[in-house]
Amino acid sequence: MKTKTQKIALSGILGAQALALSFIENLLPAMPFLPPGVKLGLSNIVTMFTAGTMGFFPALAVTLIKSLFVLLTRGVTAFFMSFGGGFLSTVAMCLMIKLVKDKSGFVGVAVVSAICHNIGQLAVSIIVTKTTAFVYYAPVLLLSGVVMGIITGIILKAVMPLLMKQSKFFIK
Amino acid sequence: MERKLITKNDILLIVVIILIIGAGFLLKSFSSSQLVAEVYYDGKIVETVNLTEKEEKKIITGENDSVVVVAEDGKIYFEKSDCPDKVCIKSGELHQNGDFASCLPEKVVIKVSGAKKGNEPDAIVY
Repeated sequence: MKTKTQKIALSGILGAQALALSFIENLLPAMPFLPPGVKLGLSNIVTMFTAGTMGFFPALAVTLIKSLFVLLTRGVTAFFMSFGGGFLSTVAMCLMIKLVKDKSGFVGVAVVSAICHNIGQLAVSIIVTKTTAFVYYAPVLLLSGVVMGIITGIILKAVMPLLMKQSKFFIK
Repeated sequence: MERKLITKNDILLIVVIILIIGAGFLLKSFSSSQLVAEVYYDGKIVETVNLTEKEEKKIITGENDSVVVVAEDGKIYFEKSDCPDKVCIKSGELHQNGDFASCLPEKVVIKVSGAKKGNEPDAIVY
């Protein structure tokens, strides 16, 4: 990482990519075998890359860019759902990367951050509705976190060389 | 970010989480003899429906009374809502203990659980 400007430019590009991924994900038809509210979490791939190569604050910026787009398009409730999950998962993935280091692979980091994303959303939904009934949904959300985490972890490993190449374009 | 795809620790972690999930589903499946659906708005119960007795009800609630919840034939579901993504309607019919659906923008939650006996004693011994 050379200058602040280069860092900001790269964060912006990564934010746009996270945004594009979550937009594409919304275009996919709802899969009938998936429980309601369960999503792939493709933009998590970009957030994980940002957390791994640039650190906590750029990753948080990417999450915030994504959530602000949700605020514009889907309203305040959706924003808190998005940012609640995004914030907790960003914190979790940074802790995983810093503390656990290479004891854990891409899949491990992705699974933990996906689960934390779901826990964050669960917490926000409990606060919004003032009902604890959501706890009943926790097993489903944990399971989807594991499955989606494994999928996004594998994709991240696969696109890593391309993302690195892109970073080098900005930071020479 | 040099890192393996998956490590032994990751597999261990996933196995532990799946065990926890299994325990959760097991707890959920302990069904009670009487099923009761509770409809909440903004954290408060607005309506209780006994599903075992196939009570029929149409409940209108939500921010501007824009949500319609229908109970019939031992099932309860969101029929109409003004929310943008309709996750609540896609949740479908609820009929099992622990089933649950919600409409976050409208702050409406439906929860199915075993009936609470209230203040009735378990048994009376003379």
